[in-house]
Amino acid sequence: MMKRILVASAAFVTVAAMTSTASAASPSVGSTFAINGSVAAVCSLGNLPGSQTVTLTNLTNADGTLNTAAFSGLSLNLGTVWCNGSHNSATVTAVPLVSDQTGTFDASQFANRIDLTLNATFGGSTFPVVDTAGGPTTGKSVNGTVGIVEGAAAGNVTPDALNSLKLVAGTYSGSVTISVTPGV
Amino acid sequence: MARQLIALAMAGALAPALAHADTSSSSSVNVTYKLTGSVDKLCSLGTIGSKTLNVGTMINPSNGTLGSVSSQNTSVTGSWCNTASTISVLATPMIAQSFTGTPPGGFTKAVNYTATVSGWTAPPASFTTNGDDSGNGSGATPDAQNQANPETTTITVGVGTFKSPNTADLLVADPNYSGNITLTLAPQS
Amino acid sequence: MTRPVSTLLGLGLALASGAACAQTATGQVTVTGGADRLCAIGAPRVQAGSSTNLGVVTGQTIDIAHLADSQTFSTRATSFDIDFTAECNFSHKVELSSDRGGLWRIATGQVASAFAEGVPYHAILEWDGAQSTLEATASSVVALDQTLEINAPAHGPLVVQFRVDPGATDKGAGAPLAAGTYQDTLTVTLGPQ
Repeated sequence: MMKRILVASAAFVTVAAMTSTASAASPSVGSTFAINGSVAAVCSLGNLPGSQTVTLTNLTNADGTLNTAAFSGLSLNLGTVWCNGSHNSATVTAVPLVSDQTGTFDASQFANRIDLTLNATFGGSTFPVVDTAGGPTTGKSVNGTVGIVEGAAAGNVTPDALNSLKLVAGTYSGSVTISVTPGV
Repeated sequence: MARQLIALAMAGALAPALAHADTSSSSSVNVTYKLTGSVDKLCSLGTIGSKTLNVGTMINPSNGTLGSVSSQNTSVTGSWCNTASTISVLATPMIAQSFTGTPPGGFTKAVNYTATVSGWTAPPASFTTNGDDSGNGSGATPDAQNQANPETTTITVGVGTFKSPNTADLLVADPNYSGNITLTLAPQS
Repeated sequence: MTRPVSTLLGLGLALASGAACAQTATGQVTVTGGADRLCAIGAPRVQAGSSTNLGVVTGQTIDIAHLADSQTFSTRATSFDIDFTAECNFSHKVELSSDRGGLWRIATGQVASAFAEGVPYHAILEWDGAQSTLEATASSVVALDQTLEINAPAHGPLVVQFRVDPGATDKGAGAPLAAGTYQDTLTVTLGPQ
C-alpha cells in the first residue's frame, strides 16, 4: 500500500540513495538516509490586480477649498495577506495628491497638494499611521512585520485638513501601495 | 524487500490563493491604488461693496460746463482664481437718462470717464470711455490684463478723470447721468 | 473554494456645490451723477455800430440821443440792438417784459393835451432761432410781457431789437412830444416753463 505523498508546489524532497541487501539469513543491515525538504517563503495579496485607479470627484467646495467629503468612505481593499513564513515584512506607502499645474502661488492662500493620512490594518494588526504631511511629494512609507497569518488588509484614507486654503487647478495624483516581502 | 515508509508531513494547509500561482511570489507582492481627481480652472468674483458709485453734481454752476468731479471707488472682496487668470473691464459713457434725442449743438448728454480695476494685476486694467455728445461711438473692446498665478485679493474699482466729449460742452440738465462698468474675471485657458 | 475578488472602494459623495464660481465671473458697477438745471444770462451789450439815434450807454442804462425831432417836435426814429450771452440747459422759456408799456414821460406837472407824453416802441426778442415781439403800444402805463417757449436746451446770443418808429406817439402820429424825461425798463428773464 502506497502512502500518498503530499507535495507542495515549492516543496521538494531529496531522497538519498537507497541501499538494500537481499539476504534473508544474513544479519540485518541498516542504512540511514536523511530526507530534507524545504518550502520557499511566499506571500500573496490575493486576487487583486497590481494597480487600480480610484477617481475622486468634487474635490473642491464652491469656495475652492478642499471638500473632505470627497474622501468619505474611502477605504481601500489592500488584499488578503497570506504568507507561509514567519518573518515577512510589509510596507505601506502613501503618496499625497499633487496637482500637475506648475507656477507659483501664495502658500498662505493656496495649496497644490492634498496630504493623506493612511490607517492600514490587516488581520488583527494595525500598521503605524502614515501621514504624508511634511514629507516629500514622493510620499511616506511605514514598515511592519507579518507573521504566518492570513488576513484581509485595508487602508482607510483621509485627507489632511487644508483649512481655508484653496486648491490650485489641475489633475491631482497620489497613491496608496502595500508591499509584502516574504521571509522565513 | 524492505520498504521504507516515508511520510512527510507538510506544514500548513494549502491556501486556495496558491491555486492562483501568479499572485503569490517568493519576492515581494504589491498592490497600488492610484488616486486621482481634478480641480477645474475656476474664477470667482467676490462681493462688490457699492454697486453704484454716485459722483454727485457734475456741472460748473457758473457756466454750465463739466465741473470738477471727484474720483470714487469701491472694493470687491473675496475674489479668487485657482489658476492663471485674465481680468478685464469695459465701461460705457455716463448718459443723461431722461434726455431723448440728440442734444443741441454745444451741449452734451454724455460724460466720459476712466474706470480702473486695480489690485489683481500690475498694471491695473483700465478703460476710458470716449463717446460723443450723444454717448455714441465709445469703444467696445474691454481692456484685459493677465495674472500669471493663482490669486485671491481685494479688487478696487475706481472712476475718475471725467471729461465732456468736447472741451466747452454744456451739460444738459438731468438728475441722473448713468454709465456702466463691467468687470470680468476668467481663467486663462 | 474560491475567494471572491473584493473591491471595497468608497467614492466621494457628490456634494452639490453652490455654483458661485464660474468659468467666467462677471460683475457690474453703475456710475451715476447729476447736472442741475441752470440758466445764465450775461450783461447786455448795445451794438452801437448798427444803431440809429443811440445816445450814451452807462452800465445798463441806454440813452436815446434825441427822442424828439428838432423840426417836427415829434418822435425821431430810433433803432439799436442789445445782445446778451445766454444759456439754459433744459426746456425753458424766455420772457421779455416792460415795466410801463412804452416810453412814458416822468410827470413833472400838467401838460397841454395836444402834447404827447408816451412813445410806443417795438422790442423784438430773438433767441435760439425763434422770435417774439413785445409791442409797447403806449396805450396806457401798464406792465407788459412777451414769452418764447423753447422746448430744448439752448445757448448763444440772445438779442432784443429796440425800434421806435418816427412820429409814433400816444397822441397819434406826428404829435409833438412834451418836454421831459421818457423812460421804460425792459427785463429779459430765462427760466423754467
